[in-house]
Amino acid sequence: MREITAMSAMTVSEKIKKKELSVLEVVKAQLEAIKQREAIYNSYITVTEDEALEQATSVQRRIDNGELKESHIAGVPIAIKDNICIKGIRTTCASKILEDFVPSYDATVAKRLKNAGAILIGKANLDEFAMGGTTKTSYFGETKNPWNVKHTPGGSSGGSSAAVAAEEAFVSLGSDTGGSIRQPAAYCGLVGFKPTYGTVSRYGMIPLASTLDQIGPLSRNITDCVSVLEAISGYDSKDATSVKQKSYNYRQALVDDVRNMRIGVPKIYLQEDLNKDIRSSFMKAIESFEDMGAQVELFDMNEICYSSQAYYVISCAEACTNLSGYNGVSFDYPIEDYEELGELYKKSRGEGLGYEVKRRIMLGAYMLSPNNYEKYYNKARRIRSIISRGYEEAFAKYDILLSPESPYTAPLLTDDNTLLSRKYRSETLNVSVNLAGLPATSIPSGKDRNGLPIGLQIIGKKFGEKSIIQAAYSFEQTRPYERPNTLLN
Amino acid sequence: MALSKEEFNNLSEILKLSLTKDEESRLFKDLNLSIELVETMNELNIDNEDDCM
Repeated sequence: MREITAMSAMTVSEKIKKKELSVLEVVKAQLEAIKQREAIYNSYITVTEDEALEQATSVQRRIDNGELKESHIAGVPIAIKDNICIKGIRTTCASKILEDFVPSYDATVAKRLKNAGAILIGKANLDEFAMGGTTKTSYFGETKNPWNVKHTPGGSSGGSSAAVAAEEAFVSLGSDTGGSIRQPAAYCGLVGFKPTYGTVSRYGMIPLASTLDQIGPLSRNITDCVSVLEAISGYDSKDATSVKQKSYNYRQALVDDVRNMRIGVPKIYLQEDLNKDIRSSFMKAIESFEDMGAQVELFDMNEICYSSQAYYVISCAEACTNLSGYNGVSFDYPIEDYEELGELYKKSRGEGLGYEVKRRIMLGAYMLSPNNYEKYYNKARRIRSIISRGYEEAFAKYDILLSPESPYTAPLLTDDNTLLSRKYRSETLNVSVNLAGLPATSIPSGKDRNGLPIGLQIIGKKFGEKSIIQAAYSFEQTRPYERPNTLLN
Repeated sequence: MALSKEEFNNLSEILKLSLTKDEESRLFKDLNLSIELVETMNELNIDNEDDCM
């Protein structure tokens, strides 16, 4: 079993094409691994065993008929974050209020993956409504980090990252509103990619903050990441923010060459209160890029210093609006004992929503109230404009920017992650990217003294995915993927 | 405190969020702390900035 599940998605896909492996063999090996490991890691909320086995047969037929020759993920099992709808499969957002919600349609990304012959193997755990960075707010229990089960896999796409690191899926989809793909990827030693806002359709994704959310892949290497990114990218008339681009051929950027690439490092990222091992790993990464022929330069970019505050105001305001519909009527939450509609709303929201969700809804409503709108919401929007302009100016000089992905490695699950000041600190390095709608990736760049993975963030200009991919691919040649040493065989 | 108990109660009523006693006291503290942290952005004098995203 391990022989198959430890392979890269690209290797498995090639072996299937060459008839060295059948799709059914791969899917059965994957389901076996899930059965063996799920009790330890809790990566999934729902494993779609029957559907995956059915898909395996139909995908094999399509391959045998000569279809799917261009696909790099045909027959590859993939985990989908449980805030993305798959027709006929319950989609809970890790919330009690959606415990039994079964969508009647596929999200565009799910449809595109099915068209490319990927096998949707299950729905991955997350923080409730993607609000958090640990999976600890999930109604379905926390997920464990495959590198050390005492630590969080990160979040909110923590199930998606743990599933790939624990070889319970070859690749996965997550969503990133303020680092929710990149941070769990960093904590689990994976590649996580947040595309430019507008590159991947969010149709069928349950929104957290609509002007910030993006869907993207998590994988064990940049090549697998790009294979999924290509499959899910593209214009979609069902998402009003979708942007038509000339080319989605990201594979052509898988080139080991960063000579003369202009790389900027905002000094403010180094002033962050970084963990010592992360600072050292980051400085080594800069040296690696210089050794490979890139020109690296430190520069001032103080525009981003208020990004966490602006992010909180905007994301909570949007979440408050997006979550107003969860009231026991629209999604049929089972409350029977009520006398009037207001009581139904109160009971269903009171019982069905968790603490962190309530906190953000209330904060958002406070920021949007008539007395506070100008002071908080409009101010945050102005800061957002300033951040975007700061990035535009930076990308006039540089092809990519580098930063540590997080100021520390995966915290212990027993840590008090509810400490708000800590939340702000951990998100500083990520959220400005979402506010500006930029693409960014986190790739493994080493380990700390406790053996926990460290991530390097590469940020590109709008629709500059190819520069990121080229830099990430080159960097990866110096630091190949490492399997968690605690993983069962 | 930025948010008074009365405003807090009004907000939870308007939002139809019934809270347990524990949630109520924790949330009241947390919300005030969140607002305090967010308010640090008001150190930045950009009120003449007319470009809003």
